[in-house]
Amino acid sequence: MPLPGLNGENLDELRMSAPAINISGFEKIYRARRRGENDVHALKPLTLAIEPGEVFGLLGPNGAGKTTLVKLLLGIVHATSGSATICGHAAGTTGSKALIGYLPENHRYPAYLAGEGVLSYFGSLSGMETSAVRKRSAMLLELVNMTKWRRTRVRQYSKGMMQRLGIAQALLNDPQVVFLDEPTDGVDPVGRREIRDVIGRLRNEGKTIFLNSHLLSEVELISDRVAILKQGEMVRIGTVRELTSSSNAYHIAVAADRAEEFAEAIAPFGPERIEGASALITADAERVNQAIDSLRARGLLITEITPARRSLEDLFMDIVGDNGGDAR
Amino acid sequence: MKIRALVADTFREIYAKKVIIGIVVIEIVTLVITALILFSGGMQREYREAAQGTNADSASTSGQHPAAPIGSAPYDTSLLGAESAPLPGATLTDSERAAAHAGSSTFRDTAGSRLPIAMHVDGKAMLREKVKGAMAGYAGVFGAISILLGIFMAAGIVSSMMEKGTIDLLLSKPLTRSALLFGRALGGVAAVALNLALFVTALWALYGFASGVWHLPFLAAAIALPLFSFIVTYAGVILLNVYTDGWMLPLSIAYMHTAVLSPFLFSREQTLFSLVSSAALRSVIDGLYYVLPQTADVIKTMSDIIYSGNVSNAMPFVQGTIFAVVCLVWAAWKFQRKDF
Ligand SMILES: Nc1ncnc2c1ncn2[C@@H]1O[C@H](COP(=O)(O)OP(=O)(O)O)[C@@H](O)[C@H]1O
Ligand SMILES: [Mg+2]
Repeated sequence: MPLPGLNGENLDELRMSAPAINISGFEKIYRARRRGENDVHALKPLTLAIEPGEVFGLLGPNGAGKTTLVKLLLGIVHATSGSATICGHAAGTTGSKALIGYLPENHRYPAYLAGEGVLSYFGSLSGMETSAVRKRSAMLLELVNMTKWRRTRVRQYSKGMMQRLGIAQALLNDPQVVFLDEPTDGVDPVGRREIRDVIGRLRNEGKTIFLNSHLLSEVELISDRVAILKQGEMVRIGTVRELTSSSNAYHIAVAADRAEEFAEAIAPFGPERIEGASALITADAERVNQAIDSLRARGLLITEITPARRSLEDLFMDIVGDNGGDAR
Repeated sequence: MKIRALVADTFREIYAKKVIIGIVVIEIVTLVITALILFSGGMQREYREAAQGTNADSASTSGQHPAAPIGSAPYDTSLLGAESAPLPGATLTDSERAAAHAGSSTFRDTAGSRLPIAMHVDGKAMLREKVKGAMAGYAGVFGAISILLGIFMAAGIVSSMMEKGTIDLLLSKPLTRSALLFGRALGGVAAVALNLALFVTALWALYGFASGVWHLPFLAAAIALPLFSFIVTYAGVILLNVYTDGWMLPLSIAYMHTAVLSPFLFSREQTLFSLVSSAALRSVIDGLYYVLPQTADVIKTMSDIIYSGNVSNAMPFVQGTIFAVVCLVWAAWKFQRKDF
């Protein structure tokens, strides 16, 4: 879709500087197929831009709409409203698909093929030359530690092996943007670690990575930016640091031998919890200073004062709340 | 390149399934039984005698036959045309008989060398007629059966592509949805075509070796026409695959149509119309005949081509092509709009 007044060259430039993924007002309602079923509002209108080279983690309990968002971006389901571009190409077009790699949730491969055969099949579906596929699959099988299983039929693969092969498959066409839907699902801890390392290497190569997961620790460890989806709605977005530091909570501690006096002095400031000679208070900077004055006036020795950091898990549990499904 | 990979993979998928073994076994058994019949003493004698059947008496017999192998029933059940075969040998003299028997066990060795030229030509024509009649009848039966086997082989191809976990990945590749659908379908057709071509070629060779008649129209028509009907029916199966997400219902409907409905619609004036007197109902039946694939008509036409070399009725091909195109365009439209 060349724009008027732009020749091919500036169009490419425009694409380079544009967000890797640009979503505006994407919305998905699955219509009820049978009587008695309800429409499912799987994704409420969502606007989001993901920069080139970013590792973006999408969190949310099962059924939150994470997979739906990825499928919308790949044209696997059709948007009810809104649109998106991937590297400047409209989402779902063959132009955008040529630039992406995808690890679907619960993917299946032709069971009669061996690992190597799967890669050469999907490589040619991406339009790659046979020789290029061969070179790249040898490299990728090595990367995901599957070289020794390359001649084994995939019907004999474990879940973890399928996942590794899936990642190799997703990287086959050297994509600009990689979508990984629950990449560590069913993988043992060692395998998870290896998959994280692979993602780290991709980040170093400058790939844009869109990661779906309901496993918090995964996302927390590798994502530059995180969004939390709840019942189809994006309720939080930011860097892990931004999301976990809450600007108006502070940790205050005094010398341990004056715990009782400390409790008394801090009480007017409504501490969330007191543990011996330390407390967590929710207050803005002004009020924190008042608390300091009050403590100092009693001659207490302040040993620590830090902005409190909540774990992503705490935040997630707060947001997702009781109806969090089986979110962990 | 991409489409080729898709077609090749579909092809492989069909031949990787266990059911293909069953189909191949059925075909091999059919070929073996056919060979046993064609090379049996009785059959061989008939061929020899047909080729020698030229004298005053047989000239008059040849006027009335060979009995046209195709009756009003679309699928002729006179399997090898054996019972309809005339026995011109009855008119041979004992010495001619002895001459024939003195040759090798298959007739073609004796035909050219021992008979006078005039008798040879005439006898050969007669043998041709006889074998053509048998082929035409036989092709009518296995033509219909090979359509059913073809549907069995290919009915799951589009629905297995649409399974969760498979379709997601395929749709993420830089191919249009129609390319994906038609690439799969083409792979299914290619697999069925190969199977049918091998089977018919083997059958044609059996007839050739057994009778000395190498009848090319049989080879061409018995491959092309059942394949045509298969493709037309398969287009309908694909449309139903896309709508039902499965293969069971499409397969059952296609079987009902090919094996039951189509023969009845073909002969509706003799069969169905005797059951219904209402004019409205009769026009519904007529309507069905004109809308649904005219498989029985195609099979009948195939037998005619094999026997007489004439395309007796071109309508089923026009109608079938339209049916297939409509089904495929409709299926592509629906497939394009689906969410997975
Ligand atoms: N094809 C579909 N048809 C109808 N509803 C669907 C379909 N796919 C997903 N849903 C519903 O949409 C919601 C979001 O699902 P999904 O995107 O898979 O969530 P997540 O990946 O976060 O677990 C769920 O309620 C799910 O049942
Ligand atoms: Mg999901």
